Amino acid sequence: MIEVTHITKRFLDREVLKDITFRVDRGEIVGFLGPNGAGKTTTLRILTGYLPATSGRATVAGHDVFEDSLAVRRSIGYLPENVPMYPEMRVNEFLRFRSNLKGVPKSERAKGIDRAMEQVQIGDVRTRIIGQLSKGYRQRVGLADALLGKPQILILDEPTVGLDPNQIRQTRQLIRDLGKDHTILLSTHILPEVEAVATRVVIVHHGRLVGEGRPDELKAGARSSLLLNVEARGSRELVDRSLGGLPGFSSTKVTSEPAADVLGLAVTFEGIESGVAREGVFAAAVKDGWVLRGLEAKTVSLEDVFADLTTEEKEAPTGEEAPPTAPPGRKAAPSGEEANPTAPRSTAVSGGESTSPQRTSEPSADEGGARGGGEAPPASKEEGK
Amino acid sequence: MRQIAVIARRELASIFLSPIAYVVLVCFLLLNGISFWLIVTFVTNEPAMQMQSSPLQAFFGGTLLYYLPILAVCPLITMRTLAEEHRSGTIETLMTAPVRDFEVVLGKYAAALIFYIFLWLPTLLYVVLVARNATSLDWGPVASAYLGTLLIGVLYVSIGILMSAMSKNQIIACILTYVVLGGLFFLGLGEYVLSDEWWKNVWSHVNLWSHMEELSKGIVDTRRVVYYLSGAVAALYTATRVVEARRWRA
Repeated sequence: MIEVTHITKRFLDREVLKDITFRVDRGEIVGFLGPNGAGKTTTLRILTGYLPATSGRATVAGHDVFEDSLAVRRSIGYLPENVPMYPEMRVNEFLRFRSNLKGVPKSERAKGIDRAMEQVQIGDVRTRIIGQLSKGYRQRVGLADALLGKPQILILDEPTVGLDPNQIRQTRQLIRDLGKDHTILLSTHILPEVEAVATRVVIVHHGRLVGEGRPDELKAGARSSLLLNVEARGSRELVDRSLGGLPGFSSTKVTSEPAADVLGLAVTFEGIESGVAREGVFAAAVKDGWVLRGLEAKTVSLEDVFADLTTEEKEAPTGEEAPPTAPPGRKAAPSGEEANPTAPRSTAVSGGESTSPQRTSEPSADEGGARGGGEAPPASKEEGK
Repeated sequence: MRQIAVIARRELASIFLSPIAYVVLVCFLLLNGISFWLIVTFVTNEPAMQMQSSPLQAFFGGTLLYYLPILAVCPLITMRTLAEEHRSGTIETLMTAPVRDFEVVLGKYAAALIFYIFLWLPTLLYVVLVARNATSLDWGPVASAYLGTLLIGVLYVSIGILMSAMSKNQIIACILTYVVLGGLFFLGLGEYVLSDEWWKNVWSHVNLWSHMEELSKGIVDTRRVVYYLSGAVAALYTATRVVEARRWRA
């Protein structure tokens, strides 16, 4: 449905997009990720025919965005960033105007507007003036606008920015529902959002494509080493020596000292299965006489993948205790973290590897029921609510 | 064509939703009313004047009082049109809908021109007043005077649209329009001032005042009509290219 080939965009002397190539197939919901300023909005603007690319080619619904811009615009519904609208108009007036502008036949107009308003649940503000609406409603009016004329493709630029957690969840659900009969390309830097809705992910950084694939594929490919968070009571030397003897052991690092004599450790293993490693840690504790207070396998989240791909190289993955400079995406984490009861404990973590943010997977770790990295967390997060 | 109407309709609605429209309307009526009253008073007190011109002829272009309100009002009508779309970002939603650039420009233009015409409608009352009280009224010159007024609007509003297309800020659009319209008006007066034949001739083609003098007498010179229409086409064409170019630079 959308095909981008070697797109480059230069503004005066600044190269914003460098040789971007990706595609979106019919029925997919593709998350377009990247830190702020990575070139997401520019790419979407090129696809909607608002901006011309400097070089390269893009087709949407089989039409070239440059040669056949009107046909492209007829087949898309676009929600721009910040949702610009005419503040003096009423919601229904605005939607009628947009509907007319999109050439929706007169006979279907009223029905189409009603349907769009119903889909995004804004029927209760239909006669309100847009300038007086809250951000959440404006966003939804924008979404209703994008749905007018039943476009095959929806292009949504940061659809949940500025919404409260409930609205974010509703919007995600809406996007999933819309995905049943639309092809969707949505940009965002909020990772839980993408993990929750996208069937595939495209990651850009500094105008370059740095990753592409299904979220689980990306997560699987992101890290070969296994990371265990271990909480132990015992002296540092003893625990280190004890763990050091395990098969596959690679390194250990103190991440916190919650109490005297208690250590929070991040232990990495190479080339060993998660369950085997965890059993090994337990056995080591028993054998060498230190107390194992907690054990959990760190699951790889899309956030880790994102951080890996979009953090500067100078932050070596196995660096010192220096806290990593958080990529913009991480700031957005709270929307997902609210569902994560481990939050209080994670605040105690003073540092850590730059590639592994403090978000741990599940509270069940205390019972040793840690989970391997294979399962995608979003589903459990949704259940947690 | 349909798209132009859709955009023009929205634009008109938004003009009439803004307080500026009503301030402009009232002020324009007030100024024209004063102008008409002064002229009628003057003509009644100077019987000799009645032989030369009717009050309507004097009203349409006979005095500076006709030009000043037009010069003042046109930039106010057009300043918002495209500048505001750029400032608020709605240009992006507009331009990603299936509309062509020229349809957007023409839609805005049509709305502004309709508002300009709307401003002049109350002056039809003056015509009625004069027709009732004058012994005889020649309708030809009245019609051509209105044609002249319309032609001025056709050109001035198009220039205002062009300036609004170039700026993101409506105040700047307004000031730019004042400068260009004022410049054209003043340079046109060069026809009366300059001694060099060639330049005199050039400015006579631009001179609003002498054009209106002809038109209010009932003389419709096609050169004038062509001047105003072609000027408007040039301005609107440029405005379309500017709208297009702004995206290339964006």
